[in-house]
Amino acid sequence: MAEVKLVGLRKSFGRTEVIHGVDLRIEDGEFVVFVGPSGCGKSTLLRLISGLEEATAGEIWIGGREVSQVPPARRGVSMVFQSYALYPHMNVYRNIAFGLSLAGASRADMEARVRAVAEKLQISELLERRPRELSGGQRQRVAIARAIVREPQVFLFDEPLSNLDAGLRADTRVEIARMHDELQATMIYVTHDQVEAMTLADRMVLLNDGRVEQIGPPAELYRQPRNLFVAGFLGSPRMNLLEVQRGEGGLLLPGGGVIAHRGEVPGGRLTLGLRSEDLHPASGEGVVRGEVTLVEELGETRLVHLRIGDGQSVIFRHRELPGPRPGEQIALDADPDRALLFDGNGERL
Amino acid sequence: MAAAAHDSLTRARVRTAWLFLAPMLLVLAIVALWPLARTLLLSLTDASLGNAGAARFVGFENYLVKEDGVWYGLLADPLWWLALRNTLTFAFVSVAAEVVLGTLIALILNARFRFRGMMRAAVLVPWAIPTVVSAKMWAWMLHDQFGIVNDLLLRLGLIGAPLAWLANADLALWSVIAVDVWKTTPFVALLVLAALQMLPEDCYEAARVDGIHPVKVFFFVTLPLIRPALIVAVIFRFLDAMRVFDLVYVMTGNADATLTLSVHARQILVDFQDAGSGSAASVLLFVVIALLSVLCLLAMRGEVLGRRQ
Ligand SMILES: Nc1ncnc2c1ncn2[C@@H]1O[C@H](COP(=O)(O)OP(=O)(O)OP(=O)(O)O)[C@@H](O)[C@H]1O
Ligand SMILES: [Mg+2]
Repeated sequence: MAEVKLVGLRKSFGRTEVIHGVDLRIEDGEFVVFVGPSGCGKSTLLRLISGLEEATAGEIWIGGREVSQVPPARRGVSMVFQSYALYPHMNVYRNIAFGLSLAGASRADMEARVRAVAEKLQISELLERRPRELSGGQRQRVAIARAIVREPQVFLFDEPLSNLDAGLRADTRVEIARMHDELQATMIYVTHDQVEAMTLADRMVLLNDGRVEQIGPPAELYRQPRNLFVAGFLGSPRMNLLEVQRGEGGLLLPGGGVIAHRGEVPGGRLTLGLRSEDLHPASGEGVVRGEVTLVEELGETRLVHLRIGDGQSVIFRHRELPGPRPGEQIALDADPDRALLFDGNGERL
Repeated sequence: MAAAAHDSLTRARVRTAWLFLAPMLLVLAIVALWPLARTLLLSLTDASLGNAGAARFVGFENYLVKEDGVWYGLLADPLWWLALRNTLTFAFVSVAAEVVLGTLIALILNARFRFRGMMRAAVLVPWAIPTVVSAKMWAWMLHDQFGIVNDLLLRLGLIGAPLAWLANADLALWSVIAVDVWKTTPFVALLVLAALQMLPEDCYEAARVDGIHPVKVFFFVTLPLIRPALIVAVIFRFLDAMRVFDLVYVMTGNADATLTLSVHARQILVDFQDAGSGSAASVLLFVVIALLSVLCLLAMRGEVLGRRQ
């Protein structure tokens, strides 16, 4: 019922266009995450949907209604801000109830709703406190409670967890996922934290410079990036991107290795993408050979930096103990099925 | 050992603090404490402006004394009480109007529109003009025969005959108040504008998404958040208004209708050459303002000086 549809959406601030025509369809009840580098227009897109910014061109449909001329309050959306945007002088109860009063709810009804939401988010003990007497995580819950209590059709989150420490962020992430299951509401979530995006999203929308680069389930974006930008943006450490040449029996890697490749290979510049976890120590010759320059210990695994020919380097994830030491020569094998090949324009082949 | 070092460090810092304060304390003593003490002493004598040297100590006679069953002195003078009433009326009404108008103007200046920078500068003009100049200017504009105000009102048919804005006892005080409001509203507007610009913008966006009516947002979000600034503005302006002199003196002289405590004190001191009684009037004005300041501070304690909970 509350699907969200964007058609040819554009936004300019003065003369500079920052959203260059976005088309997107979000199903009812779907959890969609906008990711992208800083300044790519994630917040702007979210604010366009909320109505806080007015679109320069294009249509915004929410629940089958074109809303680009409808004021924010009547779009049926709730927004959770990165800064939480709590009213500093009101206690938690009033913060949650303030947005409700207009809905014509009776006092008793309002109180019941606020208390129910507070219960759900475990902030019942905090109702009398002011925001400045709360921790970051508690403020976050209040902000979410305030959004939930209005029972919107669509939830909009703008980097809601970015002010929390790592542990709290992980907990709250799980809670948001649970909340989504429970409410079955459409949620649009902006973040630049990849883990957050991958774990929460039904579908991810990767934005770059005001344009959509790729839309799809997290695993699809991770495994089948459409182009070099998507491939390079997702994953930590970044995907290894190596310049390769067409050769006999496959692709010629710097340093002399050869990797098998099925299918047609065009001429021109070619880039091979290998994720760090798809590389493993070779028993024989291997496809990548080089000298270990750095080992980053992560506990369970370690990231090993390798200098290969042509001054290019490769990072791979080493699992067994003991790990290699800097200066060692290592040969690595790669799974040809996992390798990605990009043409001179950065499109995946 | 460490504690001793700590102690001597603290002592050194205290000494430095006094050293820094000393010049200001000295200046204050010369320009404030000394005149105040002298005024206080003079008010207890029968000195006249010409022969302050030959003054005789008369105790509190200048303030209040009973002779042959009749009360004399300033506190028994109906004119002093009239001046007190005028001053309080002036202070209350002008400050109330300035705060309301100043807040309105600040809200407008805080909105985004073209020429906002120009408007901000323009609003300050009345505040920038020296008081005597604007008082004289308004006195001419309010002139009963040649003033532009009467001329305009007559042409618009709002009044049937010219009004004596400054000579009419019923109008004079209100005219003076109006001019003070014109002159000082910018100051309040600027203070409030500064407070408005500190407000968290995201809260207003949240309110917009939640569909809260702007009027409600003003009363439940904006007003509580700029309250400390408003209180500072009120205290500042109120204590300032209690001392009003130049505006009133230039516009209406010593007329009873607008006589304020300051004008009254000057009249006794300069026109009547009565240094003793004039000093007493000044001391009374000081006492009134000091009392009001203490009341203000008590009422606002915690509000402005930081809430401690
Ligand atoms: N009010 C504005 N006026 C002018 N330019 C703006 C305005 N708001 C955003 N922009 C520009 O639009 C672009 C997109 O901004 P936006 O805030 O949407 O980025 P973002 O993807 O949310 O970045 P971040 O991850 O840093 O939050 C930026 O280049 C920014 O400078
Ligand atoms: Mg942003």
